[in-house]
Amino acid sequence: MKLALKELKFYKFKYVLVTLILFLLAFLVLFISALAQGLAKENISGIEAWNQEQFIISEGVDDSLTQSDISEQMDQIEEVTIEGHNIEFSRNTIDATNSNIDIVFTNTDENIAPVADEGRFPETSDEILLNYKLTGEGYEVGDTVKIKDSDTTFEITGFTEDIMYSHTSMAYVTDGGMDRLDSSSIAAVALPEDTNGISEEINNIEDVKMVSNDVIKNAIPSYQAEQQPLNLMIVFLFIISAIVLSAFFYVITIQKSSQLGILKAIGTKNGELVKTILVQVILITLVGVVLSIGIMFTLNTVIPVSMPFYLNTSLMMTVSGLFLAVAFLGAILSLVRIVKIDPLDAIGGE
Amino acid sequence: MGLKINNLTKSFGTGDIETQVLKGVDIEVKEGELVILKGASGSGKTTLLSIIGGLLGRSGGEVSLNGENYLDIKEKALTSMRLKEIGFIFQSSHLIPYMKVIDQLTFIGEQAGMSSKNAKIRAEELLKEIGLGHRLKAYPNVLSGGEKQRVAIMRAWMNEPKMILADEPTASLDAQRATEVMEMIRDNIKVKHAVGLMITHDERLFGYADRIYTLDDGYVADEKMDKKELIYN
Repeated sequence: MKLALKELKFYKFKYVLVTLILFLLAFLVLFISALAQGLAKENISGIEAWNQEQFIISEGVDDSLTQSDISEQMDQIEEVTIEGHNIEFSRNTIDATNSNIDIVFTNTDENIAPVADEGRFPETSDEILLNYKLTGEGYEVGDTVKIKDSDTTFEITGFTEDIMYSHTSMAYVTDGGMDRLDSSSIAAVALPEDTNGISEEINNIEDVKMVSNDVIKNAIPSYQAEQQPLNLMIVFLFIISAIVLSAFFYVITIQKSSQLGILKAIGTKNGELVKTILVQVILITLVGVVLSIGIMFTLNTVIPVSMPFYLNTSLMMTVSGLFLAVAFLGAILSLVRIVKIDPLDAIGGE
Repeated sequence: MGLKINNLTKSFGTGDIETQVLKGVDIEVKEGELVILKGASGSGKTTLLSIIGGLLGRSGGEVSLNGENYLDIKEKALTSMRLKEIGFIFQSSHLIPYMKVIDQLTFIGEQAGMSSKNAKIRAEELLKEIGLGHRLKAYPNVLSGGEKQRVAIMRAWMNEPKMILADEPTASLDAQRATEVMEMIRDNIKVKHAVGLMITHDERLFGYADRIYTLDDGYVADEKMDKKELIYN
């Protein structure tokens, strides 16, 4: 430990540079991860907010909730299950101050609907709860939203965070509220789980099928298209980090091979030298990652609400843990080198 | 007691390319003695010293320190022995550049199990003893060659070893510094009843040795020669 700290202190510049590179890599990984999470939230947060495992939807609509319409089959469905929550969907456009905004209206019952983060849930047919992102358009509780090309208006009673479907903000209204909208229909019946093994019976109903939560999410075209390249970038960044760290520590170890050989010759155990490298790797990684987390949190407070950017503790912990693992992997070459150093090479011989 | 080397052999390579560097070396160094080992370049002096120091395996023969045949013990135990019972002094000081003078010694002491406090007290004593009391907090890059080598010598003495192995410790020093360093090594060996084996080509230093061995063609020669004979002939 002492050896590791003394070396870090003496060669400040060299190790500050390594830390800086690690910080930049960690920052990039965190930024892209937060972006990926933000984009994921924009696609599927509305579905996740329901916290349901199974959905009964129309067949032949590519598992898309917005295209699904099971209104006609509801009598047959209700004969099979009584535990489901009916989900009505209606895609509409509202007149906003600067532009028109598409909104997915839904009326899911309060048992599975999200809690209002600001204000309250709608109680009458002319009230509406909006996705928090719309506050970026200047909307506040008490304001009125107007459906485009129609006289229908709703008064905003509250906002809640992260209710989006396929990059479209969602809005909750009452059953009466849904009736005031054109083209509303029952898109799905949500079930907490297939507890009674009813999937076979449901699938036997014409033009209806039961699918899992994941199927619904993956059916959103933008979700997979966005997540795959971003996740690939994150994986590559981790690989690059491992290679960069590996190269740095290996070169540094080669540079001090002679010193390490002398230390071994005078009786320093391999374990002590291995510990030295590990302490340095862990310290440099932690400083780099903690710095990047600090910058990310600062950034999170200034980034506009409309930007798809989502930062949470579990993401931070995961990335920090992965970086430590990657740094450890990168240090393995150096550790092998240390163990193989022959003290005789350091002191010379005939 | 002391160091006893019996019929020590060492070969490199096998078959047609086998080279026998040591063909049966016998050396004895008693406690409190400083023995100089000389010989032409390539005669196997450093190989011999490396085998005695447990850094290189031997092909045959026995090496014992105070009656203990230590070369066949496990690697971990041998490393521990190098730390606690053998003091190495190299041609160059080989100080660790990022450690202050006092830390060069305390690190070795702590590795051997000394408490930080005791290691510091002992290191200070040793460094003051050789006139480096004012350099305790200095890094090696500001020390002169002589100062560096004196620190290296005291590093070798830090754990009170039973044996000092020195490979041309004065090669990088001027005559005056070389004399100082030799006196320091010899006096410490005498006072601490250790065993000292030193490689050197510098004939001016032969006078400090109790006996002088010459390694030639894989054998030890001249072992009976008196040091006065060597100096005056």
